[in-house]
Amino acid sequence: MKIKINLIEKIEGHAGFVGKIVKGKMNDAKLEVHQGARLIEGILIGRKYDDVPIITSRICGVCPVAHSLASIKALEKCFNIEVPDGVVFLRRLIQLGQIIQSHSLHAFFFVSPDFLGAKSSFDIEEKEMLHKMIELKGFSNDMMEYIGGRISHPVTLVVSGFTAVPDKKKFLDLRKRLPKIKKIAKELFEIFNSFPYPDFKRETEYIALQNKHSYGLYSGYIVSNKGLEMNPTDYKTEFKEYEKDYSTAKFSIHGRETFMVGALSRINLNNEKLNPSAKKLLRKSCINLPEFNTFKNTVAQVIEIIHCLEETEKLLDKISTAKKEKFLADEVKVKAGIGVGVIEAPRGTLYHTYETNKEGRIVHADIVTPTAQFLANLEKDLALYLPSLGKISQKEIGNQTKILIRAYDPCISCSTH
Amino acid sequence: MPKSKIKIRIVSLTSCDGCQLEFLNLGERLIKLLENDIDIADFRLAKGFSKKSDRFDITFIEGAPVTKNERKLLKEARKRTKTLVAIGACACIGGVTELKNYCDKYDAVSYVYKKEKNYENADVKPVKALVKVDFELPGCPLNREELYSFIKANISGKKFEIKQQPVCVECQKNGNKCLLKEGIACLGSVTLGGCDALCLGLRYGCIGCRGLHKFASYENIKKRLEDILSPEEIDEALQLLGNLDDILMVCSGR
Repeated sequence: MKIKINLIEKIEGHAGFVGKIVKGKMNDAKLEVHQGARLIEGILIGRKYDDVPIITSRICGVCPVAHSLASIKALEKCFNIEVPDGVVFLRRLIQLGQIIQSHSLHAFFFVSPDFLGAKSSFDIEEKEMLHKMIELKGFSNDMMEYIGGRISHPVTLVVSGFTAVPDKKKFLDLRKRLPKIKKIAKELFEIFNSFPYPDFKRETEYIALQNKHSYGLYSGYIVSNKGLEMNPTDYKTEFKEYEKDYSTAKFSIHGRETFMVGALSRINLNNEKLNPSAKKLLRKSCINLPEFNTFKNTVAQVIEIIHCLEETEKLLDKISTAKKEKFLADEVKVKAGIGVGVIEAPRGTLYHTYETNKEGRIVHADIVTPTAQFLANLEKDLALYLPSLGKISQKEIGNQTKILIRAYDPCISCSTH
Repeated sequence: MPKSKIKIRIVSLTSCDGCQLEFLNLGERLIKLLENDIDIADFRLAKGFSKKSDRFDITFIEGAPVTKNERKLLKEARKRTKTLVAIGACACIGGVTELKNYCDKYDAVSYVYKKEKNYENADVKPVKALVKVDFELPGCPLNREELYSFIKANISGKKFEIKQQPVCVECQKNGNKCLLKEGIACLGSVTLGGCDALCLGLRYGCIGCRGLHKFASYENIKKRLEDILSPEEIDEALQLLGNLDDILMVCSGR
């Protein structure tokens, strides 16, 4: 049986799928990435360092802050710039907004229609649920807009700090709305936790940032459930990217195996450090650690939304004591250097490397996105899952293909860049 | 008899999906519009696709046509719609996608792809270079309020226009200190207003994401920036969102 989907809807970016089941096996599951190649790493060469975050945030409208922060962190390493605590504080806050926003988009607008029998979230019968999803996403949109200036493509994030800081009223507004937003998130968790996710598992290497002090999102070292412990700067020697003739995105491999990154990966590795409500919900959720059912990535994301809301509350409560902190950007002294910036983007670990010359212009650029890291793992999952469905209609197997691809939350624009 | 809903299609070419997201960011306003006035019948990001025989009142095009398939899709989309609206910098003026035109694209492609040789690598053109565009909603991303006003205007049969003036007008109205006077580069004097000088209010020099206004000139911007940037750097600043080729065309008298 041949499965061919030209273009998959309700994912970020343009991709299709083709695979054949022969004698109960699929040996050739292909995630065909049609996205036009923008050659971002190539076009950065020769440009000034301050163009970099502007260009890289535009790799993706769904996770621009992740790219902006990874770029800026890498460039600060090039120039030996250590930013003050206030800057880290605001960056963590906007990163939390980014994760909540991206997970909300994925869970609420890409995944939920499949399980609620609708073509789009706007068509679901449960209108109360739609209003709640919009309110929660709207809160995270405001987090990003207040700190970054707008939701897609932040304005204020630059090397060494921020160009402007929100008025205290904006922080108070967010803090005031938080209790209701947390309540909404928990109600939505109950719904997403109850969806009939297919019973499927394939043992996988899960990789993510880990940190001694907190749930690893902003900084740390790289770990896996197979004993990996790595300084993020070594990612190029540890993981290999390779090209495939049916895709403008590259694929990744660790040793000889594919691997996964993202919410399910982070939950598997760092669940001990989740905030209290998120931890409680994980325990009662349908996730059973170690969880190798990648359909449950969406539930992991909703748990992360709650963790991030709790984390936001902790940070916002520190705002009044933070008034003496330094947030604004300094003048930057450029120099020749090399730097790696790593961060957990919503979909997984994101690496940016830059080499600058003494004028502060880019001589080398390398960007490895989470989706490019897990596409090969997704193909492996598809190759195992689809034949396991036995005798079902062409239409239904097409649906199941899309549901598994959606569960990964691929960001195709990022993977190609 | 109930008024029929405006049938809308949202097409995405090579893009970051950021402009499409702004539709979803309308939130409750989108729910209201969908109840009474519009039907988004084809929207890859949040819904699905329509039949090949379907026709639309308005088709929004996001992104730049980079591949052969996209150019074909764009021309088909033009045939199937009454009104075609280019949204966002990539569709309107080329955006960061157009940066490829300003470097050696053969170097760029072999820098990124070491093995495979058959990636499409045509020069990037904005949507209006290939099909007739009835309206543009500029910006990177587009301005959500302009999008909403545009849709509302279409519902009530009114005309929606973006005023042809530089960003400086709004910037001064908001009481901002001119960043040029502080030695910070800014393209506001040649960039189309309507963004309420968002970036300037946050002390970030305008990068020209809304494209040029009707009266923009290369001489003007070179003069404004001559104490801050070298001539090469001025061109680089204009390249960033895809404005350099457009301002050079103005300069050559077209």
